[in-house]
Amino acid sequence: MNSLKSFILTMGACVGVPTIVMTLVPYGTERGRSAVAYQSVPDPANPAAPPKDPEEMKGLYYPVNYSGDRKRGELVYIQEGCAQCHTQVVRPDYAGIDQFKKGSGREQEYAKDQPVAVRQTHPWDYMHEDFAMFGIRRIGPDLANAGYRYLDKDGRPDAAKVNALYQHFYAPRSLRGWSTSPSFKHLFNVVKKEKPEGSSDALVIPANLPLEAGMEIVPTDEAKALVEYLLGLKRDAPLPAAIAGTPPQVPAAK
Amino acid sequence: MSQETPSLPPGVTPEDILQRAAIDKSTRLPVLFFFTSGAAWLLVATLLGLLASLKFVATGAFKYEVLNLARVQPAFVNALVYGWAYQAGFGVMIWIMARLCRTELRNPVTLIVAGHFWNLGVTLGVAGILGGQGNLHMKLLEFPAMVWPLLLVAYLLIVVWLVVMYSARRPGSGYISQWYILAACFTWPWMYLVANVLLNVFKKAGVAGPVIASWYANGVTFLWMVPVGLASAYFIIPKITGKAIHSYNLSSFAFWSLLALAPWAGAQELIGGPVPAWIPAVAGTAQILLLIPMLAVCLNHYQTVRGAHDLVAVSPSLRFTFFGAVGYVCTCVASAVLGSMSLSRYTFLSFTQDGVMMMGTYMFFTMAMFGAIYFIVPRITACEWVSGARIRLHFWLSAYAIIGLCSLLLIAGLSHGSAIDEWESSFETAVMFSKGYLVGRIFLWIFLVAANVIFIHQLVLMVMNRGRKAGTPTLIHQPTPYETAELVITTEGAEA
Repeated sequence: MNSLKSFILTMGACVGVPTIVMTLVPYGTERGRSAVAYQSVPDPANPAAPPKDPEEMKGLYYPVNYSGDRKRGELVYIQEGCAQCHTQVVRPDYAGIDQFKKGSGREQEYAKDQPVAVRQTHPWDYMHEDFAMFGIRRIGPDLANAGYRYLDKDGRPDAAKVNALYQHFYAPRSLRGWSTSPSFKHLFNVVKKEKPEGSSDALVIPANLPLEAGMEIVPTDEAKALVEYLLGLKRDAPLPAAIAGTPPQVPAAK
Repeated sequence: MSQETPSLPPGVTPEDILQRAAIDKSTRLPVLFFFTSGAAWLLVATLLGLLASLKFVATGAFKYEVLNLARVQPAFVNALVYGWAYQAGFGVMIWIMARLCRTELRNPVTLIVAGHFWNLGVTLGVAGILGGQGNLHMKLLEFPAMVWPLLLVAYLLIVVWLVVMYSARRPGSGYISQWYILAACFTWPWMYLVANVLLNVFKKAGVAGPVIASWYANGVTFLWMVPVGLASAYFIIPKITGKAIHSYNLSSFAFWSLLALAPWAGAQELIGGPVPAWIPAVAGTAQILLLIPMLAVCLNHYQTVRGAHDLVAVSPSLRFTFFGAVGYVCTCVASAVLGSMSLSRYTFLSFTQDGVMMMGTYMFFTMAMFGAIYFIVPRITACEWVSGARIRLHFWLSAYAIIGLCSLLLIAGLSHGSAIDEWESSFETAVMFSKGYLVGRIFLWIFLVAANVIFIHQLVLMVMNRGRKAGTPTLIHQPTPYETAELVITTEGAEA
């Protein structure tokens, strides 16, 4: 190369154009994204048509931003490295069977002969995140719809299941012997019971978890925020028709 | 060393020898600084890697908050990349650039100061990760957000002198290694700046975040490690074999096609993820096309080494460089294949990603850097490596461990991913499928730690000037008299 200047210019063109296309364009698209209103009305006569927004959702927007404990919990999720092993992605059926796996969304019910698919995750689902929590590896179970795993039949958080979630953070192997999850004991305080019945926050300990008499395990605010964050992970709300378009998973009825 | 040998290689004048000695002397301090601090980080990184692989299986071991698996794993990756790989790369870049520009390094102190800032940045970053302050959801950008300006400024302070050296070079001394080094000088700060400004300053990146992080992480391998590793290989192969690079045009083609293609690749690991479908499609295509510059480089190197393959057995530099070249081929092929549509359903964000990362960072780059260090350090310390047998041990332990490690991670990822992709299997099955490979990984990490302890011990002896005071280079095997005669000629062959 004869001159440093022409070398730098050529190299700048080589790297500059892909930088614009592969980073700035996606970033600009993302910043241009805004929440979309549910508008249209369902059409019961033609169920095979693209999904219409349900009547009761008229005037609502998707996605809804979140704040407070859920946002703090997201930071705990980041700093404790949960994303190192947990993804939050439901891939479409051409790329995997995530949509149909048990536990990937609302518990899979079988409507007649056809399994109900969890809808694939969509860019809008991550609109309010500074960095979409896809995760770095899928070594642990996917958490895209983790919020559904801790609910009772009425759709409210189930105390026993939430307690099991805390127990998973405190001592993962006491719950599932095969788990490779690290223990996050530092998100808990082991303290002396102040009242004989114990604190209302304290973990319900199973028999296989040794604990000194008169002590109890109380989650810190970080652990509570993390649980709030996980309970809020539901990425399967119906998309407004303006976003969804024609979904690939609905077969055309003829 | 050949400076002392009475018979000079053809085409080399006594002035050349004196000039080389002056250049080596001027680069001595910064290059040794980067090699030794890089080696210290290599030890830290391999120990963290061993710990991480141990904690994957013996999950209850070392129950300290700072040594939590979810923190040790990213700390290990970042210490290996920013602590070791970049610093070893700096040393090699400085020395090769000075030699090829035939200019003495005028400001070694600035480089050492900048190197201290780099080390400070990496220390703060790794401590931040272990202390629970890291951005542990961003691949290879896991350091806490405050660290990146420090690393960027330190990097620019280091490479600016390489650009200055290049513009002040003696006329008629343009060589392919210089281009690769210059490319590395510019590409990394650009990618690092773009990624950090978008993700840590402007934020609100949504699904663009993982796209940018994958683009950056791939860029670290293909736009920084590949240029620096190839610069070293293009320098060392002609030096040891005493032959000029086979084809100038081929090397030029490989260089520009790498630069034109690599910045498009990276996001193919998000196939099926909720990103616009064109992004992984374009990135995957570019990753497959990156096989073209790889083939051009291979052909060029093969033609250059042809007829002198015996030297791979005796010369430590050539042997490590050769292994690194094989690692480069494996990295390119694995990246291209694993980014394909049909495999991605099994390899989506799996252990395979770690396998490819280890291939690029260790099997290719680290081995190439070992080769360069075995070549450079005797020239700047004026003593020879203590023992060829220890170099041989270092090579075989490293080679065995890294081949095994990459294979195990690829197989573990495929079996884990295919178990997840089964209708009937529970998550427990997937964990059990990969467990055996992860147990095997621990033993390979022990080999890697042993190899690096041997290497660092040797390096420290050299830095303390306790190497062998002999006129002949330390070789892996004792060569026959014929080979000795040939090696005297070739170890300081024609400067390309």
